[in-house]
Amino acid sequence: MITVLVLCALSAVLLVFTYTLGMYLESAGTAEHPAGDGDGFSVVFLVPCLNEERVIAGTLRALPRGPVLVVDDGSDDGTAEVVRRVAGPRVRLLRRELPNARQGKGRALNHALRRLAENLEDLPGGDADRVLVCLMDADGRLDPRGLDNALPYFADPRVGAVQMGVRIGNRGQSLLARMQDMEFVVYTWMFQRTRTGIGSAGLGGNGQIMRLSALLDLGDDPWSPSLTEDLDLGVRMVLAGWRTVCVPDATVSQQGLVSTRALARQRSRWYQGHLQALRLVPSVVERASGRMAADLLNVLLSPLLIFVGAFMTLSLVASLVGVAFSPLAREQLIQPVPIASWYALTFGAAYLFGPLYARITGDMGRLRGLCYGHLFIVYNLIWLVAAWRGLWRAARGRRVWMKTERLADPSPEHA
Amino acid sequence: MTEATSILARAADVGATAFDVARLALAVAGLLFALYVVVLGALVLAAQRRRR
Repeated sequence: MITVLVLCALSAVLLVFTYTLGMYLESAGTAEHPAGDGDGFSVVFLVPCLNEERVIAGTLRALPRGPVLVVDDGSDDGTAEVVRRVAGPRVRLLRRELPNARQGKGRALNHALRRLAENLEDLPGGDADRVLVCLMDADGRLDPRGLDNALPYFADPRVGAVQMGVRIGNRGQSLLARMQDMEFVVYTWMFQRTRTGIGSAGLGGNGQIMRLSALLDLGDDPWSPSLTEDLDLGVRMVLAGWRTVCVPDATVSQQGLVSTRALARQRSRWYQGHLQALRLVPSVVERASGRMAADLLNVLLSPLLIFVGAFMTLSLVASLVGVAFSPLAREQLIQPVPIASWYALTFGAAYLFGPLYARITGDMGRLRGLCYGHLFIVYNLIWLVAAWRGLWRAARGRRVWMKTERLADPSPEHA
Repeated sequence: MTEATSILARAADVGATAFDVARLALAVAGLLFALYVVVLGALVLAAQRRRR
C-alpha cells in the first residue's frame, strides 16, 4: 500500500510539471489583441486606504486623468491630511469612521461602490456599461500605457473585468523583492494568460479594472468580507456570466516586501483567504461547466496541493538525515543517477520559469534567469510556512490580521 | 560490545528511522494528491451533470 502511495507522490510531481509545461506552451503563442482603442469608456479610480500616509501622495500624483475616489477606512495616521493636501478637484475623499470602519477591505469597497452608483449621473458617460472602475492599491503605479492596452478589451460586452499584470517596483532592492516580481510575472504570463482563454482570469485587487454594470450585477455587496475578497469577486463575476481577462502588456507596479517575516505573514493571510473561498465550491458545481468549471475548481482547491508539497519536503529532509547517518545509504544514493533524478524532479520547473522571466523582463541573460529560476523553487517554500500558519489560524477562528506595513518610498523607479 | 560499535549501531538505527519517516511522508503526500485528484474529478463531473 505504501509503495502505491509513494508512486502517487511521484506521479504528483510529474503531473504538476506536465500541467506547468502545458500552461507554458499554451501561453507561448502570440497574444491576440482586440481591435479598437477603448474610446467611449470613462475610468474612475478607486483607492482604498488604511494608514497609507507614506505612499498615498505619490500614488495620487501618478494617476492618469479621471475622477479618483479615495476610501479612507478609518486611518489614524495622516492619510486624510495628505490626501486633502495633494488632492485637486478630481479627487474625492470618502472617510469611514469607527465602528463602521476597519471591517475589511471588501466592506470599504462596497461602501464606495454604493456612493459611485448613487452619483452615476455625475460621472462622464453616466452609463454603467461604459463606466469602468479601476481599483488601485495605495502603493500602486500604473505604467503609462496601461489603460491604453487594457481598455480595448471592454469593447467585448461579455468582459466584466480586466486584471493588469503586476510587477514589483523595488525588485532591484533585494533578492526577496526580485522573487516576488518573478512570482507575479510567472503567474501572469503562464497561468493568467491561459486562464484568459477560458474567460476566468483571476482578479488580484491592484490594477483591476471592472465594468460598473458587472459589479452592480453582483448585488449590493459585490465584494465579500473574505480575506481575499478579490479572488471571491473574480469567481462570482465568472459565475454571473461575465468573462474576466488578464492583460500582461498593461502593468501596475507595487511595493515588494523586503522582510521574510512580513512576507510569510502576508502569504499566510492570503492562504487563509483562499481557504475561506472554498465555500464557493458548491456555487461553481451548480453554475459552471466544462473547462470553466475545471479551472475554477482547480483554483479553489489548490491550497490543498500545498500540503502535498509540505509532506514531500518533509520526506526530502528525512532522507537527508538518513543519508547523513547511514553509510550504506550514502553509498547507494550519492551516485549520478539518483542525484540527477532528484535534481530533475525538484528543479525541472526552473528551466521553464527562469528563461520565461528573463525573456519578459528583458533586463538579464538566460543564465541569470536560470539562476533565479532555481532560487524561485526554493523561495516557494514560503508557501509551506504560510499554509500551516493559515490553517492554524483558520482552525482557531482567528480572522483579524495586521495590515502589511508600507516602505517609505514607493519604488525607486517612480520616486 | 565496544563503545564505537554501539555508536555505529545507534547511527544506523537513526538512519533507518529517518528513511522510514521519509517513506511515510512521501506516502502521505501521495495520499493527499490522490484525494485531490479524486475530489476534483468528482466535482467537475458533478458540475457537468448538473448542466445537462
